[in-house]
This record gives sequence, structure tokens and C-alpha cells, in this order.
Amino acid sequence: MEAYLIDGAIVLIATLFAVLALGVWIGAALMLTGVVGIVVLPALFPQFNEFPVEKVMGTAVWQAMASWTLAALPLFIWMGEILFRTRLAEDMFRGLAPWVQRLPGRLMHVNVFGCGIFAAVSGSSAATCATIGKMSLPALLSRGYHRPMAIGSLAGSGTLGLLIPPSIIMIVYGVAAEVSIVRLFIAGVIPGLMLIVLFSGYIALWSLLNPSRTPPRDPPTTLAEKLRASAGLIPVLLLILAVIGSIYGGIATATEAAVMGVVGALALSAWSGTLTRASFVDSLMGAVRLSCMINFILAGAAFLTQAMAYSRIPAAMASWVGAQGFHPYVVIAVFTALYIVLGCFIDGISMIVLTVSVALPVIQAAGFDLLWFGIFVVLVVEMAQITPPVGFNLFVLQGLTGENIFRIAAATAPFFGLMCVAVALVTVFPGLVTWLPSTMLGG
Amino acid sequence: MQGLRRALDALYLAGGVAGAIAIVAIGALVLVQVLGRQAGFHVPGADDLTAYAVAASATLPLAYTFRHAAHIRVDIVIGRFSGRSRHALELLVLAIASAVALLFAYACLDTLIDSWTFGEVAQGMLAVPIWIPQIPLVFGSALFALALVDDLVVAASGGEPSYRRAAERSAQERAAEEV
Amino acid sequence: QARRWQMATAYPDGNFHTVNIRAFLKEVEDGSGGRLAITLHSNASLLRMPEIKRGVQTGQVQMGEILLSAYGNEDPMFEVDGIPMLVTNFTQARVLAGLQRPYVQRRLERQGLTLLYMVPWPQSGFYTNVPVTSLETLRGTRFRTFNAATQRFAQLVGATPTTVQVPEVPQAFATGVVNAMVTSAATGVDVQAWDFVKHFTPVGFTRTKNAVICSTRALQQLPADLQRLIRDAGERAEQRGWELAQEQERTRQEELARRGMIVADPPPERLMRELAQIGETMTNEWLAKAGEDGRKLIEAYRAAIARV
Ligand code: NA
Ligand code: NA
Repeated sequence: MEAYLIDGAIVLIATLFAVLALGVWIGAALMLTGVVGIVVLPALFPQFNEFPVEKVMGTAVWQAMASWTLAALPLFIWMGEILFRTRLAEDMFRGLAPWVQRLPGRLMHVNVFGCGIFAAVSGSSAATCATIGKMSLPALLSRGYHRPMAIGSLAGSGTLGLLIPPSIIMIVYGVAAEVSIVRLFIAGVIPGLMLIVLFSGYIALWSLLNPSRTPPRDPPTTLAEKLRASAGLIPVLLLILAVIGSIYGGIATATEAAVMGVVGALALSAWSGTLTRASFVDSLMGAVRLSCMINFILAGAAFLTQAMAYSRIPAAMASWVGAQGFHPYVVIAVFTALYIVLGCFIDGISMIVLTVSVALPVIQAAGFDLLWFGIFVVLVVEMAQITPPVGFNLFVLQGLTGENIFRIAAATAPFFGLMCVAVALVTVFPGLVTWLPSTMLGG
Repeated sequence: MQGLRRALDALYLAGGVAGAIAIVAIGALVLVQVLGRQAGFHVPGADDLTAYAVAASATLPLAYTFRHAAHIRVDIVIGRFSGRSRHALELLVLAIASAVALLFAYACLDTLIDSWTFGEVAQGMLAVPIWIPQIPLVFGSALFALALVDDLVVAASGGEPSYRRAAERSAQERAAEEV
Repeated sequence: QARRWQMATAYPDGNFHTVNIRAFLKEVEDGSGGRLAITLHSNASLLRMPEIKRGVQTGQVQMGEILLSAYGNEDPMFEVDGIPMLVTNFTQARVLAGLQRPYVQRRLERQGLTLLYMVPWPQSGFYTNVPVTSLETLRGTRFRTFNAATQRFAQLVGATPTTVQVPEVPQAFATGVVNAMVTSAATGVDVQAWDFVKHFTPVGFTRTKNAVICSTRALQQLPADLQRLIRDAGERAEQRGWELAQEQERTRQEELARRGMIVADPPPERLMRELAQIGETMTNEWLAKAGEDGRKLIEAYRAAIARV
């Protein structure tokens, strides 16, 4: 890699850290870093070109925001806000509680399984995290569950939205790498379930080792009481079935399913008698604030991405890996490290489009299957969602809890470690990825 | 001064309400598409309108969201300071963010003017001139810049910025939620 | 010191248009003796498809690739190659491209853009789960539409027009949100259509073109010999592109068959007759909005293909 690229990368990283540490709002901090990339870098190093900054910024923000694919995000967030204002989440937790008394970690597993199920509806990690978090966090915290663990398991499990189909990131990769999206979707299922098992296993283990940090058990109840409490699960189950059914029944596309969720949530809210003018307006304005916060960061990230694309730094990093002649496993290890570093600063979709042109030939030369690499990329993009300073699940949870992102990231670190384990497992056993699609579709 | 304060607050709230209308519009447009397909009719250009509504929902409430302390930041450093030094830091942060927001608003306006001068027309089934759906971007970003400059002026004259008051309120609400 | 240009395209690296662009850029770079370097941003990594033209106009990039017929809303003369069944083979497509070029050139020039070359897409065909024996087969289907022309076509055959964005096509097909679409065999291979659909009926339909454009001002700032070099390389890229498109039309269709799809080549005669009628209707509708220039173009085209 040429020296000016490394120097340029250092300037950008230093700028981003300095502005963020100062306490500038994240979207604005990303924009400012982009301005440095487009205006200051060419002034410092003549190898970088100059571009009209206002044109680049305007186009970047417009093309990122006027996006049909983004429509699902505010809708799912609104759905979460509506459900939060009903008693449904509370009923659901009361229904589940008696059944998980003997399971170490008890209701904490709701984060993992809730996100796992919601991931089958939503293609985005932020939407998964926001929707489940809005409902489960207050319920868990009011019951006295360990706060960092509740937050960390939610941030980690929210990333399942990307690995379990449908998935926006798989679509982006599939189009760029010309890999079948249907196959990618199927290939994500087993690694997704594997992550669920890893996450749940960790929660159980942690609870066994830290019994004092789990709230005391409820008094034992009779089977009849358990069943009566479980009736509270029915409405939520119906809602989930309706949304998943609308996708797999051919009624709605994955993006459109979000509106089925909103309609279902409104219907449940009306049925349970919590839908009032005030609760409707509250839920809507709550959705406005949370989705506007996320979109502002997305807009800043889109502009910073353009600055990175002009600088060619991500592509140069990927081509450097290719030029070293590493052993295949080393290639994967280095790519994992590279994507983890990139993932600290740019969002997942940008990571893919900025590197595939250079990364795919390297990967093919090392003897890896592009379908397999797609799942690998999704896993590392998932990791990018929870690494500071730019990690969208961290932002969502900061929005929900008010904790700062570094503390949230620290709580999420064990789950980050489990994802590293998952990457190692799919690298050593590629069949975890390729077996299901080749069994179902042949070839 | 009171009148100006009320007018500005009403303006920010209007941006938030417009964002809410945009989200409802996204839902309605997508729903009509889903139902229409079942009934065998089709709304031409509904997907483009949806995309424009997403852009509107993302930008119009920027100022409203800011005033409610819902834009997030890393307060790991600034949170350690209090009193006069904290005030100075907030002023610096507000000045930086105001500059970025002004550039952002200018970029949005410039984009709209380009679309106008190039006579650019949407490529989908609705042949709308692109500058029209770009109007919310200009309004939203301008309102955001105004809100930042507003708080910069308030803080510079010794007052408490809106987002700090809102942050305290929402911290209390959250505490109440969890109990 | 070497000048550095930026170029944007929305298509992935494996697409034959992108492969052709890379060869074109290499020729320019090698020929310039190190005086001009052009960085290609593929995959929409810098600009999305609809923003590429304005990107060239505003100086964010100096060069870009656009789908010409997408600009039909701006001026009908851009979208004449998007009229179904107007051209039914490559010879006709070449004739139309030659006649359309001056109109396109003039309009782009007014916007500060220079047309370097145009390359067509291979013919399109219907993707369905049942064999298409006549247009009756398409009646009542949920037909994927992506522009005004396909929308009108769906209406004319009595299908339900359904808007599904490119990325969601595979899933929409697999779950039945759409059950018919029209696109090229090349795109079918790109999305691996055999994973979700059975039949491919290549009918010609359209051979729309991609255009590679550059900023006139940026071009004129180059020394005259470099300008010449770019234009000459563009001409060679056009030749190469037409050959690639013809080769793709054959090999990609073979690939679909090899992967187990049933390819109806040649398509049923009845279907082609009915399609020709619809094409006639849509040509007339286009003429109604394209005015004097449109009438001249179509007359010249009809006269020319009557001769070949
Ligand atoms: Na998902
Ligand atoms: Na990150």
C-alpha cells in the first residue's frame, strides 16, 4: 500500500475520533470527516483529487435517503412503538416466565429468540434491534435483570436480522458478486441458528456463573396457572405469523411486510383497548424521532462513504491482502481483521460495495466459494454493527437507553467474541454454509 | 423575544409533524400496493412516491428530533465536565455542528438548484421533475441548521441549550419506565 | 503530472458492459503514456444509476455509463430502443442505433455531455413457470414492470403490473408476488433465474442500449491527442460491445438451458404475431408523444430495414 493512502487513512480516523470524542452529534461528525476527506486530504497530499464538496454531499444524501428499501425501517420502528404502548409485551413476558424458571438465564433468552424470530421478518439489523429492544428492555430491566447483559445480548442478537433471511445485506452482496440471492438466503439459515445457540448458550453459562446477578425465581405455580398466563402469548404469536405468512404466502415482499406489521400492531392495540388518540400520536412521534436519528447517521455515513470511495483506501487495503500470497486460512483471517477495522468506521453496505471489486478475485484465487464468502461477509458486517464508534446497533441502543455507545459496546463485547467463533467455525466447516442450499436446490 | 421563541418552537414542531405525516404516507403507499396487487390494480409510481416520502421523513424532523435530544452523540468526554468548562465545550460542539449543518443545508439547496437547471426528471412511471421531491430535503436541512444556530445563540448568551433540558426530562422518564 | 479521471457505473464487475468498459479504460490509459488515469467505480459504489448523469454534469465524475432508455421521461428520443418489438434482431438494432445517435448526441451536447459510445443489451424474453404459447398465457399474471413501457405492455396484455425492485425479484418470484417478467438471458444468469423459475421464451422484445458519456468540459481540457485517443478507443469499445452482446445473447441462453430451464427457441409463431401487433400499438403511442423528430426517425428506420 502506498504511503499517502496510509497517511490519508490516519488523518480520517483521527478526525472522526476527535470530533466524536468532543461530543459532536454522530451524523454531523461523519459529515465533517467526509468533508476532511474531500477537501483537506487533496490539500495535504496531491495524489488525492479534489471534488466539489457541496455536490458530492447533496447527491450522496439524496441517493441514500430517497430509497425505497429504507421504507421498512421507519415502519418497523413504528410497529415497535405501538406494541410498546400496549400491554402485549408485558403479557408476553408474563406468559413466558413460568416456563423458563429452570432455564439458566430465564427471560434473558427472550432477547435472543425474539430477535431470531423477528429476523425472519426484517432484513435490517437496526430495525430488529429497535423493535425487539423497545418491548423487551423495559420488561427485563423492571424485573431486575442484569442491565449490561440485557443490553449486550440485545445488541448482539439484533444482528441476526442480517443473517436470517430476508436480508438487505445479502441482496447487496448477491447483486454485486452475482451470487444467487435465493441461495444466499438459504445459506444463512444454519449459521443463523448456530449464532442463536451460541448466544443462548453463553447467556445460560453466564447465569450459572453469576447466580447473584439474576433476579430471584418467581414462586412455583400450577400448570393451570401457567397455561392461563400463556394465553398472553397468543396475540403476539398471531402477529408474527401474520407478518411471516404475508412474505412466504406471496402477499408482500420483504420490504412490504413491514406495513403488515404496523397494521397488525394497530389492530392488536385496538383490540386490547390501548389504542387512543394520545397513544397513536405518541407512538408515531416516537417513531419519527428514532428513525430520524438513525437516518441522519445513515446520511452522514453515505457522504463519508463517497469520500472513502474517492480516496480508494478500502479497495487499496483489499488489494494489499491479495498481493501478499497468503495461505487461504490466513487470507480469511486477514480479511476478517480488515473488515473489523473498516467496520468500526463505515456501515456494512458501504463496506461491501467499496471492497467487492477487489476482494472477490482475491477470494476466488484463494479457492473459496463466492456463496460461502457471502455468508462470511454477512457475519463480519454483523460484527461491524456492534463495534464503536460507528455501529448502528449501538446507536439504536443508545437511543433506547441513554447509555453511551462505548459502555454499550463493552456490554456487547462477549457477543462480538462469539461471532468471531462463528466466523472460525464456518471457515473450518464450510459445509455449515453450503450444505443446505445445495441440498435444497441442487448444484 | 417571547414571540420569536414561540414562533421558532412552532416551526420545529411543524417539521416533526410533517415527518410523522411522511411516515404515515409511507405506510399508506406500501399498503395500497399490497392490497392493490390482491385486487388486481396497480398504482403507477407508488414505489417512487414511497422513496420520496422516506427522504421527507428522514429530513423534515431533523430539528424536532434535535430539540428532543434524540440525536445521539458520544458524551464520554463532555460528560466528565461541568460548570464553566462544560459550557465552553458545549459552545465549541454547537459551533462545529452548526457549521456542518449550514454546509449540509447549502448542499441540499445546491442539489435542488442543479436538478432545476438540468431539467432532471424522475426515471420511473411518474415523470416528476426531481427538484419537487427534493424540497423537503432543503426545508428539513435548513430547519436543522436554524435549530443548531438557535441553540448556539442561546448557549452563547449564557442559557441552557434545548437538548440538555430535553435530555434531563427523558432521563427522568426512562427511570420511571423501568420502575 | 498525470490527470486522474473518475468513472461511475451501476453494474457489477462480471457484467459484459463493465468488462468492456475496463478494456476501454485500459486502452486509454496505455495509449496516454501515463498522462491520464481513469478510476472505475463499479457496482454503484459511488453513484446510483439515476445519479450518474448528473454526477458527470456536476463534475463529481468525468465519465459515466447510463441506460439510455431510462431518460425517456426527459425526452422520448432517448427511449426509442425501449419500444417492444420495434427491433427484432441485431441488424435492425444497429440500424436503429445509427439513426438514433445524432438525436441523442444533440440532446446530450445541450447538457454539457459528450457521447462516447453505445452498446446494446442482448434480446429479452419472458420468464414464467408455464410455457408461453400465446399472449393469453400472460393474461392475469402478476407481471413485473420496471418502466413506463413494460407497464403499458402489461396493461395491453391484461396482466397485473407489479412493481418489484431488482434486488427483490428472486424472492418475489419464489413466493409468488410476481409470476412473469421480461428481461434478458444475461440478467437471468446474473440473478440465477433457474433457482426460482422454469421457462424462458426469448422473443426479442427490446435491445436497449447503455451509453458511455463524459463531461464535454473535462474532455476539452485534455490535449487534442488525448481527446482523439478517447474517441477512437470509444469507437473500438462500441465495436467490441456489439460483438460481446451478440455472443452473450447466445451463451447466456445456453447457460439457462444447461442449468435446467426450458428455453423456447424459436418462440411460438402465434405469440410472435400477437407481440408484433402490440409493438405496432406501442410504436404509435410513442410517435404521438415524440413529435416531429420521432416521426422522422421511425420513417427513416422503416425505410432502412425494408432495404436490408
Ligand atoms: Na432477516
Ligand atoms: Na462498527
